[in-house]
Amino acid sequence: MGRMLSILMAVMFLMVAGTAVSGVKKPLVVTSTTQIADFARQVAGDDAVVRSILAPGADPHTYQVTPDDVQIVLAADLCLENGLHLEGKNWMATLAKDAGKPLVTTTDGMKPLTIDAQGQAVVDPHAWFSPGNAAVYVNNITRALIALIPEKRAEFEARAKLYLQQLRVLDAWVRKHINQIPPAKRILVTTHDAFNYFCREYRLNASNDYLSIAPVGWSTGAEVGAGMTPERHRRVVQSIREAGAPAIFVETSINPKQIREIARETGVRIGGELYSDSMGPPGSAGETYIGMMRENVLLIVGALK
Amino acid sequence: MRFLLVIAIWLVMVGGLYQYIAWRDGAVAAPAAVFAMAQASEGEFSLELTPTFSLEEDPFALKIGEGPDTSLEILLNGRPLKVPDEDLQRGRPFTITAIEGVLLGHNEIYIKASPPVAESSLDHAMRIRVLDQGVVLADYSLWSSEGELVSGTVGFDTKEKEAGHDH
Repeated sequence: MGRMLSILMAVMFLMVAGTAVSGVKKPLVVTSTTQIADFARQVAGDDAVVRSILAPGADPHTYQVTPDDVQIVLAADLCLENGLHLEGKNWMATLAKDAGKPLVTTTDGMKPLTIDAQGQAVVDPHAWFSPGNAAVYVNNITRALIALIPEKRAEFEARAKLYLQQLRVLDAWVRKHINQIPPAKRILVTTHDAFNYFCREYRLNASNDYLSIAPVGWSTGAEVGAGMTPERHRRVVQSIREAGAPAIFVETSINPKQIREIARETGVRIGGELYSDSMGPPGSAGETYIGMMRENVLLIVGALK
Repeated sequence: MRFLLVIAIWLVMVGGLYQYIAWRDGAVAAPAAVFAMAQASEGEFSLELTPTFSLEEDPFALKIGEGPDTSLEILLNGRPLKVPDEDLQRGRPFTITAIEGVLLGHNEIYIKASPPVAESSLDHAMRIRVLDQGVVLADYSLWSSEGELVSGTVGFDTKEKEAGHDH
């Protein structure tokens, strides 16, 4: 009888303990892109769970929301988007609004680059390609996380400061490496217009006002100034021939067909595959923002030097 | 016999524990440390800064609320010094006069300044001079390279002024 009683009490204790442990639920932060998810993880640490709607290699401009995405956002405590129309047809804002979840636009407060697209001024959404802009993302995310979990303010601030210092080191490192390319060879031709901020920050493509040279516009979707037109194709081929680009680059998240055609037409080699709208899969060198930028720069410098 | 032995061991263990606790709780507390308040130093102190760069707001600073400008921060003995609105310019000495908070004895000034991000390939420096009525108490340069902030601590000492020695 005594033994039965002891066993029963032990089982009851384990049940209570198990309930207490499993009852601790961390807030869920859902982001649109892999880059924003990485920034959020750097700041949130173990104090929140971060999930990205987009998988590595997915295109944010043309992404079609799935029922699974709706379920993920329904469980979210906070949603983060890039904004500036990166998410084609504002799919992330729609998901958050329909689920009644708070949404933070991580590019708020930034001075975006405006580019000319078929005679119209269009804001370029690929702001993360400048580490100085990435710092704006990090500050916005830190503020949002503090509002979500105020008691973890000190931890969020400490992680954010450390990561901002890493971005400072990254920026100086990129400048140092790009400077290894002779000025006449600093020509970056990519599949789509994702690298305007990068070119402007690090002074590539002087002949194009330090902006991207690409056959496909700022978006791969159907927005104004997006997609490929015969005129863009012609201008890109002309730019490559006039500037004497040593190499051109494909991107991991975009169909390489157009850029490969241009490479054949101009006789210029493909310099490699850059991470652009999406970071790399887990386990790859580009699975974090810093890794993505590092690998892109090493590829660019190696091909153009 | 065995029972008596158990009782005896129990008395020794519990009794010994009781004695130890009584001794610990009865120990006289050490007298509280008395910290002498530092005395303010007499004098007319000024700080002269000469950078090799023009200041720029630090894009990699943590900015999550309404805070001061991040391009220049000066602390004297841990307290922020109010910096005039005038911008520091490359190669031009910038003087902050009538500094308050200088103590008798050892003092420290901490400076953090943000050079332009586009100049991260250059080494940068800031010369710092602390003066008392024109007499140099400290003359030091802080350096940075590879995009780092120019930051560091400069120490200087002040002495009690002797009566009747006006220079």
